[in-house]
Formats: sequence, structure tokens, C-alpha cells
Amino acid sequence: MSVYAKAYGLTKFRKNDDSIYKLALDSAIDLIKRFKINKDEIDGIIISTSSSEPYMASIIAEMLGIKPKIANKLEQMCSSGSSAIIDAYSYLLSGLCKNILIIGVDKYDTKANQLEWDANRGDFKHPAHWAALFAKAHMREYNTSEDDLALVTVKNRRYACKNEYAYFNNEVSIEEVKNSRLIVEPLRLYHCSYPCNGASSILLTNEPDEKPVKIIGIGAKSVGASIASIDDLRSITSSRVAAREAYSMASIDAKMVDIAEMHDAFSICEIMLYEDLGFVEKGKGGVFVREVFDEKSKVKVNTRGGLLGCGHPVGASGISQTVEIVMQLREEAGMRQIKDCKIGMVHNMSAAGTTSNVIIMEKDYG
Amino acid sequence: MGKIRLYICNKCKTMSIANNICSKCLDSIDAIEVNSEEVEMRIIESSYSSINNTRFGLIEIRFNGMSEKIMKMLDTNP
Repeated sequence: MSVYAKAYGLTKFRKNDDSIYKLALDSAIDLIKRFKINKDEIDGIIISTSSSEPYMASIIAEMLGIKPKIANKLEQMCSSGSSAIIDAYSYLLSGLCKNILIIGVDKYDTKANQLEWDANRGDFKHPAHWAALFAKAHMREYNTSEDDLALVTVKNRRYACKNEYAYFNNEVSIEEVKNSRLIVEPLRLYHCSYPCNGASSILLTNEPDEKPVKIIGIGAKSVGASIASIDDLRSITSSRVAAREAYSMASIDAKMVDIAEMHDAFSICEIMLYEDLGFVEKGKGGVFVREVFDEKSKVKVNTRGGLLGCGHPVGASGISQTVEIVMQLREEAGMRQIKDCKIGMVHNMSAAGTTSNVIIMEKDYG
Repeated sequence: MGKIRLYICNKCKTMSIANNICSKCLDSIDAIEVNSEEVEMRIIESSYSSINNTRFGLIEIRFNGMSEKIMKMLDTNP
């Protein structure tokens, strides 16, 4: 038995007063109507969110007129979305469910924007602090430059302009990035993803349709939760381990990946992930970003605009990343469609990269 | 840098900043406060925070042969 993506639903990421229920319903209704899904066939619903609202999965199921076998809510900070997909994968492969609707949703002011529990972070709980330490370590060890960091943002904002659902729809220049407000040295405002409202939905199934996109690899690793769990500021260990597992399960290597969604919560993360996901050797991320920027690399990265261009509604980001890969592999990505992509990767992580999930998907038709 | 609050397991000497349960023995452990002069500190990486308007760093602290990492304000420019 295999697991396939069958349908998806999207909402524009924005910052307004919409309730968490309206956001979730908008994306789920978009999915159901866009793909003419028979609601009676949905036997599982998982809500990926950091919201503290109780009993959300059953409430949303009732609002949608669905009576599922499984109704669960999942919270794992920024990697909630991919964690929900991994859970759904397990339910489907076990035969417990046949069609699972996963809705990722969050509000801009969620408590999951920073990890208050981590006493080891002292007064420096804003995530820009750990990201800045990553950046400084990487820049000193590997001569990664401010221009390299800025190129990530410029690229992802450029892609976001082709995505009607992205928060940001304007390009920025290298100079604008470098002159934006200092947050934590060397990171400036435009190096940081933006907390916003958003929801994305995906329907996973064990029955292929006419354009099947199959999950062929999953890797996951959690090395802890606190900043003390980080053993090397120059590398995201959990991502390296998760990627290795996912490649092994899919029987591929990084060279075979055509398109990847990487968790660019900060620009430095994407540069480090080029290395830790195996696309280039350690220390070469700052050079590789120029190939990715010019689209000369085989792998195309963050074509929906990444977290930097789309905004980062915590529980929705992992679902939105996965939807992008599905759209690309189904050749439904419109203006940002990448030609001839057959294998796609989703990388989604939490809390200074202490937890990472990697999902590999394959176009299973044509 | 004042006092530092540490959890140190009586059995295995595992040290933690935040966890009052020893992650090895799974026993409850009590916090002790030590003067920062009593612990060895090494700056792993440092930066300037515009959010907190101060320099800060990721510091490795060593005490009684155990080590732990914390983020802390820095008094001086390293």
C-alpha cells in the first residue's frame, strides 16, 4: 500500500482579525470545492496548530459536515504541519483510515513563535537570537557573506511575487535587505520570516487518482528541545539525520531531487540546509546560493516563496510547503511551475532545528 | 555575572539549567545556586541583540566536571 496526495486547499497568508476557525474552514472548503471531494469519504481529520482551542478537530469536522473515524489535533511548534503528515501517513498505511484531511492553521500572535519553556535561552527567547548565532558561526568558519544571506531573501521574495497566496508580493534588492533594520547581528528584518495568519489543507489517501503524487520517503529526528541540545552551531544535526533517513527510505540521494521546500525561518537556515540536506558539501552553502538564485542548480528551492516570502503561520507552514511540492509535481503551479520535476522534498523544522522532518514525494504518472 | 541556578543530580552528577528531573536517573533533583566565579565559562559564539539592546552569547559553563550551554548577556565585548 502507498500514500498519495489527492487534493489541496489554500488561503492567502495575511494579518487580520479572522478567527482560527474561519481560517481553517476557508482552506478546507477550498480543497473540497477545488477537487470536488466527497466529504463522506473523509474518515480522518488532523489539525496542525499551536492554538490552545480545545477539541478543534471534532469542532471543525462538525462545521464541515464530516463524521471521521479519527479526529486529532497536533502541536509540534513550527514542524507541526509535517508531523501531522507523518501521522496521517501512518494511519493510512496501517489501514485505519483511507482518506485523511490535514488542516494546518495558526494566527500571527501564537505563543509558538518562541519557546518560553527553554530556561537555557535566558532573556534571549526570540528565535532571531539562535539564528544569529548560527549565522555568525557559519560566516566565520566558512566565509559566508552578508550578500550570501541577502540572496536567499531576494530569491524567495522574487518567487513569492508569483504566488498569490504569499504574504509578501513585492521584490526586494540585496541593498534593501542589507539596509533593513538590525534585529540581532548579523540578521536584519528581511532575513527573518514574518508571523502571520494562514491556513493550508491537504488530503492524503491510499488510492491514487489520475495525477498521483506518492510519498516515497520520510525521515524525522528530534535531538531535544532546548538550546543546550544544539551540538554545533554550524550544522542542523536533526535535519541531517532526517534527510539521510528519508533518502534511504526513498532509495534516492540529494542529486535526484528536482525541487525542495526548505524551512527558511531565517535566511541563514536555507544556506545551512543546502549543506545538511546533502545538496552541497559542508561550508559551500554560501557559494551554492548563487547557483540556486540563478536557477542553474538542478534543485530549485522554495519556489512558493519560502517562509521569508510567504510569511510563517506556524502550524500551517509545513502543510503549505507540502502543497507546493504537490502542485509542482502535478504541474499545477502556474507562473512558478518548474519544468520536468519528478522528485520533490519537504523540509520542516522546529525550535532552532532541534526537531526536523523530511518528506520525499514522487510524481507517479506520465 | 551574579549567581547561576543549576540542577545537579546527586547520583550521577548530571547538570541541567531547566530540568528538575535527572534525564539519566529520572530522579527528582534540587536546584543549587552557585556564584558565577565558581563555574568555568567559555563563549561559544556571541552577537549583539537589537531586541534586548545588549551583547549576548551562547556560553558553555563547566562545573564539577559537567557542562551545559546557556544564552546569557555579556558584560564586555569579547
